[in-house]
Amino acid sequence: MNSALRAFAAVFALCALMASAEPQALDTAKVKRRWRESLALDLPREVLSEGEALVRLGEELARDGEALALVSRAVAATREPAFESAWKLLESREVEATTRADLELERARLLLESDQLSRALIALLEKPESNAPRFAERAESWLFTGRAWFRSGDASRGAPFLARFIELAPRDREAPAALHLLAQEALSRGDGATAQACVRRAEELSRWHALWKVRALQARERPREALPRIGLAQLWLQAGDVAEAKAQLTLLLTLHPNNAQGWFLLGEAQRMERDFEAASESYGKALEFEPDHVLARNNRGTIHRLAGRMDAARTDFERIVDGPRTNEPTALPAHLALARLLVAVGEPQAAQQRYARYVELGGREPLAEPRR
Amino acid sequence: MRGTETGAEHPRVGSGSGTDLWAQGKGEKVTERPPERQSEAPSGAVARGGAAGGLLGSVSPRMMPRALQLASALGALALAACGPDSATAVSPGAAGDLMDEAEARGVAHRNRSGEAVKATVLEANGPGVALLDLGRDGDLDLAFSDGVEDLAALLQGPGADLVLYENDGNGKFRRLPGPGLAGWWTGLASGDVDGDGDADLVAAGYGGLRVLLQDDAGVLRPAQDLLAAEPAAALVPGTARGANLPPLWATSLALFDADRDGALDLYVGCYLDLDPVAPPRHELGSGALAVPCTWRGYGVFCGPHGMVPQPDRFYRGLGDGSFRDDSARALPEHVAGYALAVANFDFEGDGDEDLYVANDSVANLLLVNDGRGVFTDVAYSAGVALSMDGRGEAGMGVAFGDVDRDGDLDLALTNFSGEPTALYFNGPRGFSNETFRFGLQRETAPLLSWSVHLADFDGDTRLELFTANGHVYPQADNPDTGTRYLQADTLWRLYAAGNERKLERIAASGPTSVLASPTGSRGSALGDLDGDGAPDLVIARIDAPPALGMNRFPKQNRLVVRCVGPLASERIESAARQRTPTDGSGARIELVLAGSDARPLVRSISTAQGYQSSSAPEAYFGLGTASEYTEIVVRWPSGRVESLGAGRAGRRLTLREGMGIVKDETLR
Repeated sequence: MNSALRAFAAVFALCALMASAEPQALDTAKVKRRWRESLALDLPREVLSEGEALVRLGEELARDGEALALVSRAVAATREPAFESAWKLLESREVEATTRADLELERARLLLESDQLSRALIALLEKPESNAPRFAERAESWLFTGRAWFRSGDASRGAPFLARFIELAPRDREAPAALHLLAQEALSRGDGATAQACVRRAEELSRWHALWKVRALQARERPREALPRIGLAQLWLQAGDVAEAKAQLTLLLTLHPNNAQGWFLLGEAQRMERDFEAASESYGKALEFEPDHVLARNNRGTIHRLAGRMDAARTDFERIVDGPRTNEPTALPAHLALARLLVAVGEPQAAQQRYARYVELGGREPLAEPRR
Repeated sequence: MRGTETGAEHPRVGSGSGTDLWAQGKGEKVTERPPERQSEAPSGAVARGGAAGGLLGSVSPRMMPRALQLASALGALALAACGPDSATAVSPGAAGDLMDEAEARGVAHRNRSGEAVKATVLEANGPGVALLDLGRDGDLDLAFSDGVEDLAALLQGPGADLVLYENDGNGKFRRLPGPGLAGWWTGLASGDVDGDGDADLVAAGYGGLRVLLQDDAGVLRPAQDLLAAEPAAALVPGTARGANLPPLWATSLALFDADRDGALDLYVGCYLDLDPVAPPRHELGSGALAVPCTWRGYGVFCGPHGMVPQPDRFYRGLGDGSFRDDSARALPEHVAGYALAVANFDFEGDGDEDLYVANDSVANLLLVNDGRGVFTDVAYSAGVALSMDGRGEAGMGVAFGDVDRDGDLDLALTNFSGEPTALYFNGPRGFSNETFRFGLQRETAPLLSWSVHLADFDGDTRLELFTANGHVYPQADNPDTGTRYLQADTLWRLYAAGNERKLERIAASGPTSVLASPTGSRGSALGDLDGDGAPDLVIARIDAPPALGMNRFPKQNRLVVRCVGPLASERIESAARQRTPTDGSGARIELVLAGSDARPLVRSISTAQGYQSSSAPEAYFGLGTASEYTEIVVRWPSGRVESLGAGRAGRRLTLREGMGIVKDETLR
């Protein structure tokens, strides 16, 4: 595409975006979030299609260092020559003070990606011998500095920077790569245990990110389908990010209000937030649409039990252990929970019977409640 | 692809109320791979001045005072260690470089690799080439692999044969009849597998793995079919085939002597499961969980991500031209990757041949030989499994050579676009990644490179780096991809002295240079086609005729060394019970030049380098201005070390183990 056509497309995209946004102001946080996701999914053209025009012409985003950095990254991924095209976008930009670090860090990243390692270090470090980068509160600052030292062949100098990056951003998309470098540095010191731990964590995170990418692409491809969003919500729950999980589930349940698994996962998110009553209600909604949802019933029963609602708890647990899925592994906790509940309400014989069944199914936990 | 069901596991959740009775939907099991190739943002080159000027050249005004302050400190502290920070020099076109003379020399067939749109990954990977002497006349003849129109045509038959050319001794070629194979052929490896003194060939393919033995008339005759006992692994064109039966897809091969018994063994790099009857198109999986196959937002063919990688194989050579599958013993802990390239070389200097395997999109392998032909992967601890940033990259081609002249063999590895061609220096504690210090990121990130060579093309004693380039996706020509489908091949001079690293791109000296025009290069093989002692390059190109890159650098002093071991019929039992293969595979040659630099130039005889290709089993030395050498030391795979005295340049020497120079020819 020639530059005139490209400019026309960009202005068109901007107009379309502004028209769709009227009369409300542009939600810049939302836009930047979308761009971040596009870049993570290797879809830089999505950022370009609206980003270039917005940062050039848009009032607000043109002074937003983070927005500029995201668009610059998309430009570097799509234009030739990459460095010059992206650098040009960042040149002579005055941005809001709060987003200046984003701009400076993107410049440093560009220097790093064009093998200008010394210049990248100058841009990143407060002082040459410093153990802290200029923007010490920013995880990328530590990542880029560590990477610059590693690329320079000085792994021992880069390792502390990468370690700090992992502390600040333990689940970042770049964390697996940083962990691998830390593992190799540990190996070079003969520290096999640290290396192994780093590799394990890196592989775990890599799997998570790979799955996230697949699910996110599926969700984009078929935005009205339930399964990809359920997958995304599960991944976020697994990562402990309840807010992200709830965002996916809210969208899912708006589209599919009768989706039992969606309600169950919302219950899980609420439980992780320790909002047990809300969780109980969500589990209840799941059971409304899928009465044999073992996990939802078990967890609702557990909440009843913790709240002292013994009868309600007993009803839920009995429904599982006397139900059609009693022999399934997912039902195992309900067998134990019911046995313990029976002890608590003074029915030791019944409790023993239930406990024997639990053991028969492969359970290994003691009947006695653990001390808390 | 149902990863969303709740299932058998019920892990405890730490954030709960403390009870151990919570049940939770299990975390997703990893049964899938990410959907498409990911590539980092490519970067471009920046022209700057010298070190001091370049250091501050484009630092923003706001940064300037601090930058000035830091620059002097970092200058002493880090610059030496930090790599180029200066633009890569481009040498002006010399009188010549690697000039394509294919058509004039009679090499003009057109490769067929599926359709131009590249609907499946098989169609994108393209051909390889082998250089081998047919007819024992001392010159190098050519064999090219080839494919057909598409998978349907392959199933229907008759499939493609190999394409052969005979050299007339002056570097002019005549097409020969093919050996009569039928299939979709990929990688080629040449070597004397039956120990009779002439070169044989092994052809890898999608559903094929065939040994071809050269007879006394110099004709390649199909011999052992290594997939004969595996009907599912073999794809026989014209034979009915059910769905969901992906054949073996062999890519690059290495013929080398793993156990030092004098018989060549065979490593087979394997790619992935591709169902020829119902290959995935546009998406992987089905229904709500289907994943579109995209790159940069454009729909492209599927793979390798999301498809099942095939494990590599190892065949033990029996010395008579036949092999038996010994994968289980030789590769006991092998993890399947998507192997695209393999090279054998002695990485630790212990006398046996190790292997480096370039895997597409996952960690590469450095397989260390225990001396008996059992291999253990040490790539991770040696620092050559992942990129310098700790990522698995799309390894496409591999080459080795002593770039820093410290006596051990260094590695070059090509990668996907967005990922640099990597250069690793071998050292006492594994490899150091020199990619960024040379400035290879900015030079090579926009390129998708396949075959690679480290060779002294210009004859100045230093090794150059050649990469054969071309993207897999025709969609690379769409707007805003940051790269192109057809790409010119590239050649760089490498300078490494102390901490200094420098890269100099060699510009095309004219329109017929192989470096001049964007093409779709894939495999390439190195060898002296016209007898002048300078290594030429044969480049196999996808959907196009090959190139013969004839070496036209200004004339330098050169020396070519061939090594010959005993014939199979003359088997010698040495004390160590180790033997040198008949074609000298694995021999290490050290050449000491006259003059003040006593560091030898080191070469190792191996045909497996680049991508899906097989180079000549010869060592090419550029002697620069030196017209003589003071010593040649040969370390034979048998364990014998021979030293030959001083001699003149300008010769092609054939060395026979235990007998010194048995043939001495003057270079043209």
